Amino acid sequence: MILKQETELELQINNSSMIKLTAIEKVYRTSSIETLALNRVNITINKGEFVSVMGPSGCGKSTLLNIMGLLDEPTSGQIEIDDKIIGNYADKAMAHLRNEKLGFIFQSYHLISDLSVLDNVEIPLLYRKGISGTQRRKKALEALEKVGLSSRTQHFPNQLSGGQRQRVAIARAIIGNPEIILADEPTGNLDSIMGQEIMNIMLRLNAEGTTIVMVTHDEQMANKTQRIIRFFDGRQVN
Amino acid sequence: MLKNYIKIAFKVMMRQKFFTAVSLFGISFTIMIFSILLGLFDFVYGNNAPAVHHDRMIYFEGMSTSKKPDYFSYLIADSSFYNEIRKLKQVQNVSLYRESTLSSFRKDRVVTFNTAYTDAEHWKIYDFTFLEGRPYNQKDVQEKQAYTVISESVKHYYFGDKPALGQYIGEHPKLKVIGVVKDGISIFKAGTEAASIWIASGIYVGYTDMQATILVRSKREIPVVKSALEGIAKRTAIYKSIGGKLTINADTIFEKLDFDEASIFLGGFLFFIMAIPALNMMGLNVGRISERSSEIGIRKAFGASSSALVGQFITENIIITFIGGILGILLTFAASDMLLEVIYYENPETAFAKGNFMLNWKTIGYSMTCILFFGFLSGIIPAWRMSRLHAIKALKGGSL
Amino acid sequence: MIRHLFKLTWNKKKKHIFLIVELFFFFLATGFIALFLYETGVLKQKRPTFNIENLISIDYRFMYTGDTTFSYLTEELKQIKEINQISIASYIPYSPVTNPRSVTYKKKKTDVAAVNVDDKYLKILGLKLKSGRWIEKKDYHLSTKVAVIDAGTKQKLFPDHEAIGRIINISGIPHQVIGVVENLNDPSVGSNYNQNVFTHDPQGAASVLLKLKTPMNEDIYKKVKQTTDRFMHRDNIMPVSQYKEKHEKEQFIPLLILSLLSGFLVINIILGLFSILYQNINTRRSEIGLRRAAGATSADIYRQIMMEMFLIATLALIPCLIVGYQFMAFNVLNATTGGYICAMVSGSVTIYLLVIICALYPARMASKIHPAEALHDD
Repeated sequence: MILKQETELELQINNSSMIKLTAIEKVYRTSSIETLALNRVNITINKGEFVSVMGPSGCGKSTLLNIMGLLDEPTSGQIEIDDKIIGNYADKAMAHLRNEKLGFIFQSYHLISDLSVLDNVEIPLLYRKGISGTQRRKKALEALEKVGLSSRTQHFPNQLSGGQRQRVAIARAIIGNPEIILADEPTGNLDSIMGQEIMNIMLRLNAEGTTIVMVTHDEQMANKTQRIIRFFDGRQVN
Repeated sequence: MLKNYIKIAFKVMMRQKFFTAVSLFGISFTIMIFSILLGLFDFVYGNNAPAVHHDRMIYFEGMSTSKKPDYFSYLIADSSFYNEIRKLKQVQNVSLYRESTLSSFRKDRVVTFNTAYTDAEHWKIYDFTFLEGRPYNQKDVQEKQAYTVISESVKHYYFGDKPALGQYIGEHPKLKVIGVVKDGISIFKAGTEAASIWIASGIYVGYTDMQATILVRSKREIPVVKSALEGIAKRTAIYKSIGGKLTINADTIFEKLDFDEASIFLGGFLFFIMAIPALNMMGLNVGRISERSSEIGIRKAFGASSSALVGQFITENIIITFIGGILGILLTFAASDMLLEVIYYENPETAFAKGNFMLNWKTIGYSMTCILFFGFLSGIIPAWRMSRLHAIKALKGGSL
Repeated sequence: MIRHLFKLTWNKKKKHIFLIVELFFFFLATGFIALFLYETGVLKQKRPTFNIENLISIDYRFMYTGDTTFSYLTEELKQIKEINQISIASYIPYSPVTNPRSVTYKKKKTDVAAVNVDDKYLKILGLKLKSGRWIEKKDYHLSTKVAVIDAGTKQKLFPDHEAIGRIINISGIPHQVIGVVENLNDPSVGSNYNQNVFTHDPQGAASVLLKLKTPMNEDIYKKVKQTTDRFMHRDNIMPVSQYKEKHEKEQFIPLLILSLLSGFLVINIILGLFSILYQNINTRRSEIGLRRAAGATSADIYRQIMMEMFLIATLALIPCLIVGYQFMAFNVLNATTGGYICAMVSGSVTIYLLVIICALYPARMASKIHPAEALHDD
């Protein structure tokens, strides 16, 4: 409760946006069908917010996250990340931005099974220039410590439980100190206890200042966040 | 059940077109190479016309003696020597011959045919198919008739499509054609098998030394005959006068063409050639199953037993191997012309009437066996791994 | 990045085992072919300096040049108007070479194939003298025999000065050098016997060489055969061009077979590689999507796949080179060191080329994978 109040205060003081979507539309075209996945969406996520996005399957939540994460280009509309308008959707520019500012967490973890935990966590820094191997290693260990897995650096994903795997994924997401974390059903494959652990880690990260947007089905988890955006048929509702 | 397997197999093949194409290519070429090798092996060693008794034949090519330090002399094998050999009870027949050549110039090329002056026994040891005329007999030889029997290719060279009987070839003397036989394939050309013109030996003027083809009554008795030859050689007057270490050059086709090192090396090289498509197949099969792991998971979840899945997979594999194998056999037939050119590069005129020598039931039979063997082998390991695949893991996208 | 990819590739070595074994066999096959080409000197051949146009040979084994039969035969053959030149000599181009001899000059020694010739041999083959003169009839009965040596022999025995006039020993018999002639460069002669010295040896073996004014035809053949049959029945009147054809076929056929087999190998491997890579990319969609989300550009993905393939090829080459080295160290195939090295280099280079060419398209496919689709596919 206290957490909520504090951040609300901060919001009122800062009121600067981290992610701002204006009139975003996303249309998927196949040879026979046109699907409107996002229908003139206007959303602002403020700095330091922890926002949940909820809605039934197929309502466009994943598409929303893709757009926010610069993984996909909107058909029309404007995106602003950290007050900068995204004018150029060229691959290189987007990749660079993702690397600097964004961290991703997925429902199915997407860990590389042939690499050790440490090697998995390192991945984002491989694509950042100017970091040596030793520095990468150091940062990876730090990230793993933050999620409580420093004793399992040389393990492989198939030797870990679901909760541990998600923690590795979180460590990977935060290694580059991103300002924004986008999480797509992070507790979807986990039981309530593990889910709780993951949720706690994410709350801790948010307390340290990271903006988090989380897509979820879980009402309980969503209630722990500061704001819930409800989505239906490609639009924000209520 | 089997019909179901087959239907599914075809559907799967159509779905995974790339894999199917790759597999068919690899299998067809592998089968082709296997078939050609087996076919050639059979032609070299097997009992194919006209050498229908190949495994009972000894090629006697000469004898010599040597004494230290460096004395060496050939020993003459004349008709009295061979008469002794004929007396052996293990010997069914002996045919004597001398090799020679006959050259002609036609259409800006000199063509040299290998010839053999033989006795009439030759036609009893070898089984030739006569397309025209007849072989020469003992009377013809005794009467010193200048008769000759020629192969179909030789006939075509000299006379084209016109009948050859009664015509003449050669100059000194002129030889009268009394028979035309179907060409035989002889790859390493032992004894008279190198010849495509056979001449009644009555007219031969020259050395008294002859070579012989010995037909033994049964395979088991070959070693007996060989040691008997030594005994007879040692009893000849000329050996008795010289003494020394006797060497007899008399071998069966298997002993003559034993390449030792070279064949091991060649065999090794060819094994590599086989191994690669086999490995491709195995890898591809694993890939095929991986792509379908969710399908397998579903089937298992809905009650398919491991054996049913393995059965289906092996059926698929055998069908694809079968189709590839048929293609391979067709390729073999296509390649047989080129093979003939390679085998008969020195004298392409003798290859004219060989036809499609790979086109016979034996070759097809060998190929079929290869196909089944190959199909089973390349499928069994992936199939076994697939049967162990845990249903849930497969459904969740686990790999093999 | 390389270290990361190396770790990734190394951890996956079990999955790549098929490919590695295939590449191993391919290395051996390519190496063997390269060794064969190297050792048979197929690639090093020079152009022949002799002319075999309208040249016919008649082989008279077991007769020696001094035999009077040859002078009678020559007289009879001269009657045939289509014959331009006649020479009695022991060596016919593109035929097997005999007569190896050791030649020495002072301290230097070299091995040659000695050729027994007459005064017409130079002209009939169209050979070129570099210095001095050819053997003439007057030299036949000299007490000190004369010899013409070829350029290669001169280089070995007289690298710094003139050879004409010097006395060399051919198998212990002194000969005076009277001329130096161009190397024959007969492609059918192995490198062991490609140096020649020419002498006139009445006791030496003989063949008859005829230079015709026109190519051989049935008429000329008949006339020649009738003439030779009067002296000895010989069945080997042969245009030298047919010996050349035979040699070329003999060279060509093993090459053809090897090329077909290696072509077969290459195609199989390409297909195998392609399908493995294709599978590879398909099953790694989520990994690729992840890397893109983490900041990799599509160029990064392309480079990654290419690099991985390069590393796999390198991984595959380790056992290849070890085995290749063993072959060389124990000289299993009875070849020169240069040959083994040529074989190993050829094998390595072809493997790299093969793997990289096959990886180009799949790498491109991988780089085009849309991250959003890849991540939300499951």
